This record gives sequence, structure tokens and C-alpha cells, in this order.
Amino acid sequence: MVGGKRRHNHGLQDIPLKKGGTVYQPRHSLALAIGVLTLLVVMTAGIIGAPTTPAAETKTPIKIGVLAPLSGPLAVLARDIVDGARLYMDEVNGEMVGRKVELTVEDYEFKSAVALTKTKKLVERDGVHAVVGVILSAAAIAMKDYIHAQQVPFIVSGAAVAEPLMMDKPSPYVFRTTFSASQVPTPLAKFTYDKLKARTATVIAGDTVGTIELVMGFARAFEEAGGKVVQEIYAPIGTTDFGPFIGRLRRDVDVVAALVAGADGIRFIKQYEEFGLKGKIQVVDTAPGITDIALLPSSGPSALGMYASQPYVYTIDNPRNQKFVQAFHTKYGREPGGPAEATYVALAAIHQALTATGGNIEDKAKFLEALRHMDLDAPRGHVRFDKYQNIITDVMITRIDKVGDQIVPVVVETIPGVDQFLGMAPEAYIKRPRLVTLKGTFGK
Amino acid sequence: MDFWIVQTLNGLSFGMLLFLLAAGLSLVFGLMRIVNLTHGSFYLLGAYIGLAVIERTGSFLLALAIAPLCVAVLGLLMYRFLLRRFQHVALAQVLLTFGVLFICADFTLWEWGGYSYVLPKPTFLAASLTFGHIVFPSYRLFVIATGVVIALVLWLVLERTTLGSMVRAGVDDEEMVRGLGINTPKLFTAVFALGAFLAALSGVIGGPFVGAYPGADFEVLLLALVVVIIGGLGSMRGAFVGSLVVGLLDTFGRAPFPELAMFTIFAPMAIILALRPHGLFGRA
Amino acid sequence: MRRVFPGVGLALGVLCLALGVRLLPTYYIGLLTEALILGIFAVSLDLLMGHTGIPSLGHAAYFGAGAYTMALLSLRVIQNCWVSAAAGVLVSVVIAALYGLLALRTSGVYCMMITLALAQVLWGIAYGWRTMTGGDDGLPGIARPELGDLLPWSLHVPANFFTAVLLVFAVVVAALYLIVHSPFGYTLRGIRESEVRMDCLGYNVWLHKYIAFLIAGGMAGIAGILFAYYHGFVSPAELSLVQSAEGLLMIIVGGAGTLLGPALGAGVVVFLRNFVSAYTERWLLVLGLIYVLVVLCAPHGIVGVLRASLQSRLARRAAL
Repeated sequence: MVGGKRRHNHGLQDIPLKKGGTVYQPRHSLALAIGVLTLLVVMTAGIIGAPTTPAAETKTPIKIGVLAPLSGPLAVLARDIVDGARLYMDEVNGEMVGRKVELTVEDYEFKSAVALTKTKKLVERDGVHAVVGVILSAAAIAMKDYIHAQQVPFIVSGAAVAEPLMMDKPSPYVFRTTFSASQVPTPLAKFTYDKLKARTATVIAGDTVGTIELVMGFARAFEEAGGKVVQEIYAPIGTTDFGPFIGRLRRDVDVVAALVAGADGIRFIKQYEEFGLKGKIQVVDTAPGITDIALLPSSGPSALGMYASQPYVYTIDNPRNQKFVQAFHTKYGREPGGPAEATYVALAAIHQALTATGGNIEDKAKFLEALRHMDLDAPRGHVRFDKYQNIITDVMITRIDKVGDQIVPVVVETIPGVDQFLGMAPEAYIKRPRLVTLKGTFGK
Repeated sequence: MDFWIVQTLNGLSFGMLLFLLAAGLSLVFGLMRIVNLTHGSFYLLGAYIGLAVIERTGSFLLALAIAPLCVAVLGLLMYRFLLRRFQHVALAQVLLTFGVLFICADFTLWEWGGYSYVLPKPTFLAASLTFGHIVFPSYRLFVIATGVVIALVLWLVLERTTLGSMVRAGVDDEEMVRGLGINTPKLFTAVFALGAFLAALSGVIGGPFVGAYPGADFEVLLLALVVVIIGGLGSMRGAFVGSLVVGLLDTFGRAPFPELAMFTIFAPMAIILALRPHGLFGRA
Repeated sequence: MRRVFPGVGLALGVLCLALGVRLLPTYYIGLLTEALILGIFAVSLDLLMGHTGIPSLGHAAYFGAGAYTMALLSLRVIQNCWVSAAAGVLVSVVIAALYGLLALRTSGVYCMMITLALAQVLWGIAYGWRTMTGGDDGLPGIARPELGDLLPWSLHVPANFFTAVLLVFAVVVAALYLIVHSPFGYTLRGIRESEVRMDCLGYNVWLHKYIAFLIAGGMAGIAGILFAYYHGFVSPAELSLVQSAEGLLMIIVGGAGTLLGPALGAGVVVFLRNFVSAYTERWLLVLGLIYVLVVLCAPHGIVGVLRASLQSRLARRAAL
């Protein structure tokens, strides 16, 4: 600055008070006393409404926490989780085995740290008896230790497909009604090789453990079938400009296997089209990423022709599903996606377990045991848990077609009864390296 | 060869978007020494309002006109009633603008929900152009062109008009400018509003490929800060050069090395800070 | 007497809290623990900003550096928690040493920008270097130290962990008290008032500022390590601008330049955050309003407001 005159304008003390401030002398002891008092007052104010501790009585309401990323790139899918839960509650009139059931919905903003904080709130302040939901694998993994220590049953029903969640240090409190990272992409990889005749592939995914594992599951199965994965591309979650990544895509591959989730996925597929690749290189969705029904209205025409692998799609043709889709559509005006059905199943599982224990959720051991024996006629078909508490499910290969003037996922093939161990003995499968460790090993 | 052309164009389009974002911040800081942390919120508000206009009227051009104006008014009010009294207290400004950032973030979350939106492109720019083997979206070329045009307009205004010379003089020595009888409060209010205008404009223009979603305000703010730090606070030339540097570095660095994605942006910034704390073209 | 009173007061306060807290439900013990940990963070930032007048928007860098170092070592390399915790503090001091060299070349707003930028570099590394830091997924599974051999209490019991944190807090506050009341501390305050004057008086201004930077960085590292133990999880959020700005807010709410003001501010912010978000979704809005209102109405914080009213009442009585 000219003139060398420089104002001290950065001090907190320089924030002007009303006219006539005085210079203070520190009076620490007084400040300490006043401080402790104020803190106590604030604390007492905060203690209004003491948290309910789960009572042993069987007539107090059952509280279930629903954790969904209501803000963030997957907000549209988060809605499905909440709506699926609420639909089930409607169908049972808010009661299970004579006890009232209350849902507490929390937003974890698609961040692991927030998921952990919200879980603590749900468990300690709200006193929930169980938690359902969660899409982000990293969030579920972050919650696992805490939920295990607190002994709260947690049914993952959003996605959270990473293998380590169920296979590394397995917790008897964690269940999953969605799918695992190998379960759903493996049949698609075989299909891509056999029916689509693809021999070379590039995989592209969001850079978080769940999406990485899904494309790695595809990559491993594709190479086991005889194909070759020549390139791996990862984009940080929340990437909006896929230009640089699409620029790097090799143009000589037969297929692009993707898992770019939520809003990122919409942007990816649109920009894929803009850069002239649609129709030139086939894209397959290794799990419901771009092709989830919640996203089709936005990705729409850009997604036509994509194949996908899904454990649930609303076009499944069985009476149970038709009833479910009808009810969902009537209540919400749209078709249910994977997370909606999985959460619906999660609540049905809780209900079934409660029926077995006579409404007692407080006896953890009994409740968990009953939950393990889940055997349901879900909208997707007949489902139960495997030994490690992951769901065994049929897998549908779908293609996004135009039916009339609607964009619809049409079921092309169904592979029944796939489990997370792909038919191997659990202990043998667990000895294999976790899919996420395969990152970076293809295309060399 | 194709790869290099496509990636360079990608880098340039992203860079020009960054310029639009950073120009406003640089101007505001240069003149008033205000670290405006609400800048990212102006971007986001511009994008959302633009989205609302497009949804209602179908006109991208109308959105380009209305959204920046609305946000400029907001900026004007914010400066007049919150920031002006703390003109020389930087810390108060930081906290105030941070507070407004949170308020705007929550407001947009409340009003538009947690969904991630991508603004629809204007139909005349929706096509992709083909040059030989290369297919490139025409919209991104439009962004490059707009960035250059606005840079020229800003340069013209700053260098060739009286208003511009007042601003430049104010950047150099505010007291002298006041001594010369120029109404600095009005000048500052106008510049702050202009900064908001530019940020919102970049929101509408960037909307179709960067999008509007919760958290965009923060990400955009960080990027603008990086550009402004590299280029030098208060320098338009610095903002232009800085944004090109960051745009190209990010594009070329991000895809092959996603692990270093953030690093390719922050490392140059750290290096420049170590060597030239006031940025490439900044003045002490 | 004036020297003894604060010490006795502190000891009594610690005892009361340590015992009284066992009566509370675990949720509130958790909140108090978090308030104390963030209180250490805020108090360390206050040494820098309130006492020495160095404006920093990147204090989270040392907080996060300490946390990540301890987490990476205890998860991957060493079983001994004391070693990884000590390493954490060491690393945060080293980073403060490095960053101090760069930041102290500037002042005012430029100092703010540089500290912000430097913290962002660390954030960028934590976010981007997924193989090392887990990126945005973070590092889960951090276990609390086992005191088994030394003492019969487990830190997994919330009340015990709270007591441990309380003790660390008390030590930090006592250390700060001694610093602030030492000649070094008076020099710092002189520097805050006018660097030029102190320079003319012959003090090595840069060295004093640098040492304050190191101390503040180290204490922030301690807070970060405790934070990691508390949550059992570290993520880039600990290095973010939001974290730094929250520290600023705590200082302002509680009262800058006072000893315990920032800790008080931390308590208020933590409790408000949890209290408000139990009743409404609009916590961010409330937080933003608090930032704005505090700057507009009570820039000297709670302690300032209390002092002002006390001062005016004393003045009125003296005038009678």
C-alpha cells in the first residue's frame, strides 16, 4: 500500500463495539467460575427430553432408525429407502405383533463421518432398537464397530455392497438385504461375454469402496470368462465434469462396464453421449447405478440400450411384485427402485423375526436368531439370508428399452438364487482377496 | 493426437468457467480486501434460480438475464447492511460471509431439496460438433467463447472507462480515492454487486455441466480461491491466467491420476504461495 | 492468593465434573467429551488469534494432521498407542513449523488466505490419496488405548474416557495459563497490540510468533488425536475449512483472548448443534445466523458480554 500506513485490521479486538468500549483486565478466576456455571446451564437446557433407554416392557413402542443420504448426489435414491419403509408401515398400520412401531429418519448427507454421528444420535438419544438403510459402503463400514459395540441390529437396505462389510470381522448384528459386490456383477460379466460377445472392456466407477468393488467384481468375472479388462478409470464422487475421464476412455474396447452412481451417473451418461460414444461402445451398468429407476427420468434417452444387472426391478413379473409396485405407485406416484424394495424387505424381516419372538426385540440374542431365519416372499421373489447374513437373491439382467413412449428396464434374463459367495463355500471364498484390493491390477 | 485436442478443449472450457467464477472474487478482494466466502453461494443461487427460470419459461437466455440480476441485488443488500460497517475488520467479514454461506446453503437445501440438478442446455447448443474423429459438445465451446468475451469486456471496462480507473485506483489506495471526492461506499457496493453478478452468471453458464447440488457452493468457492491465490488477489490478468492454469492442470491431472486429483490443484497453489505469497500477478 | 485461586478453582472444577458426569446419560457424557476436545482445539487457536493476533483460517491442518498420523500408525504399523499418539503430536508440530515459516511472512488477510490454502493442501492429500488415507471413506476402526496394565479402568466406558479427556484438557488449560501469565505471554499480547512497537523495544517478534504457532499447532494436534479416539474414525472433514471456521466461531462466541472463553464457546456450539438438530432440520441455518449475530451483536463473546455488564455495574456502584 502507498504511504506505508497499515492498519491493524485483523484483530478480534478491533471489531467495533457500540461507542465507548473499555479496556479489560483479564479476570480469569471469575471467568472460570462464570464459565462453569454457564456451561452447566446450557447442559441442563440440553438435557430437556432425556433419551429413552430401551425398556424391558413389551408394550413400549419399537423404534427403528432409517438412515438415508437425503442430501447429496444420491438424494433421489435416498427417497426410495424412506418411502419403502413408510409403505411397509402403512401396510401393517404402524404395528408389529401388537406393538407400535416408530420410524426415525436421519440424513447422513452421503458422508461417513455424518453417518457415524447420526447413528450415535439414533442409538443414544432416540433409543432405536434397530437401524435400516445406508447406501454408502464406507458409511456402513464406519458405523459397524459402533453398532456392534452398542449391540443394535443393523439391516443394510440402501446398497452398501462392499465385501469387507460382511466378510471382514463379521458382526452378528449386521445384515444386508441389498446385494454384495460380487453377487450382482458376476452374472452380468458372463452375459456380456457370452451373449454380447464382448472380449475387451474398460471399467469406470466412482472412487469409493462400494463402486470400486462392483466394477472389480465385474472385471474378475469377465476375465474368468475369457475376456480382458484393458483399462480402469475412477472418478471422485461428486465429479460433475466427466470430460477428462471420457477423454481418456480407450476407443477400441467392446464394452464399458460402469458403476457411476446417482447424480454423477446421470452426468456421466449424458456427457458420454455428447462426446459421441453412445451407440459406438456398449455401456453396461454393473449394478443399478445409472439404470436405477429413480434416475431414469433424468438420464432418460441417454441411457437407452444400456444393459444392467439388478437384484430388483419393478418390471419383474410375479403377483407379489405387481401388488407391491401398484401400492407404491398409488402412494408415491412413481415406480419403486432397488433401495425401496430392499428396505421394504428389511422391515418385513424385522416383522417376521418379531412374530417369532412374540414381539420381543429387547432380547437381542433371541431376536438376532429369529432374524437370521428370515424366509420371505419378497416382491423380487423368495429370499433368505446366507450364513454370513447377506441376502440370497435372484439377479436380473435388464436392458433399457423404449416401450411405447416410456423408458423402461426390460428383463432379459434371470439368474436364480445367487449368493455373495458365488456358490463357493463361504470360508473358501473369504480366503480370496477382497475385491477392493484388485483395484489397479487390470489393464497392465 | 485426438486425445490431446479433446483434453485441451476440456481444460479450456473448465478454465473459462473458473475465470467467470474467480473474476468476481478477485475484483471484490482486490478493491475491498474482503474475503467473500459467500461467493460460492452466489454461484449456487444463480444456478438454482436459472434452473427455476428455465423450467418455467424454457428460455436459457432469460435465465442468463434474470438469475445474475437477482443475485446481484442480494449481493448489494448483503454488502450494504452487513459488510459495510466492518469495512476494515477482515475477520468480521470472514465470519459474516461464512455465516451467510451456511444460511444460503440451508435455504437452497430447503427450497430445492437434496437432489443434484443439471441445468438443461439451450436447444441451439445441445448438439455436438464433429471434426474428423473428434466429437465435442458445442456447449463447451460456447463456454470458452463466453469466458473470453467476458474477460475482454471486463478488461475494457477496467482499463478504458472512468469507472474502471476509479476501481483500479481504489485497489491501489483507497484513502486517496476518497480524498479525491469519489463516493467509495457506492463504488464498493457496486463492485460487490458486480462480483455477485459474475458468480451467478457462472452458475447459469456452468449449470449444464457442473450442475447445482448441495455442496457445490463449497467446492466452487475452493476452486475460485485457488485460482485467485495463484493469479494474485485483485488482478484480472491473474484470474485469467490462474484459471487457465488450474483448468488445464485439473483436466490433465485428474483423469490419469485420480489419487492426485485435489493435489494437482492445491500443489501449484502451495508452490506459488511459498515462492510468491501474493500470487503471480498480485500486488502487496 | 490470586495465583493460587485459579489453580484451586481448576482442580475443584475438574473433580466436580469428573464425578458429576457419572450421573448423566451416556449421550450427554458424549457431548461433553466432544465439547472438551473441541475446547482444546478452540483454546489453541485462541493462543494464536486472541493472544498473539495471528489470524488463521487453517488451524484444522494441525488438528487433522495429529488425528491422521495417530490413526495411520495405530491401524497399520504399531500396536503401542502411546507411541502413535506421541507421533501424532510430533507431526502436528512439524507441520506447524513448516506452515509457520510460510504463513508468518504475511499478515492480515494474506495470512488468512495462506493458512487456508495450506490447510487445503493437507485436505487435498487426505481426500485424494485413497490408498493411504482411505480418501473420503475415511479410516474406521481406531481403538482407544487400553490402560489395562496401568489402571483398572477401561476407556471404552464413556465416563472414563470423559475423565481422561478432562484431565488432558485441564493440563492444556493449565499450561496455557502459565504461558499467558509469563513474560512470553505478555510479549505475545504486546505483539498483538503493535508489532512495530515491540520490534522497536528490541523483542524478536518473528521468533515469538513462531513459537506461539508451534505451541498452538501441537495443542491442536492433541485435540485431533483425542477426537480420533472418541469417534474411532477419521475423515478429511477434520482438515476442512468448516472445521477451522468452527474453531473461529467458538472463539468468538466464548470470547477471544480470554483463557476459557473459547472452551465455553466450544461447549455452546456442540450443545446447540445437537439440541437444535433434534428439533429441526435447519441446523445449518441456525449456525449461519449465529455466526452473523455474534459478529453483529457480541463480537467479544459470552465472556465479553458478562464482563461488560459486570464492569458497568461496578462502574455504576463506584460512581455512587
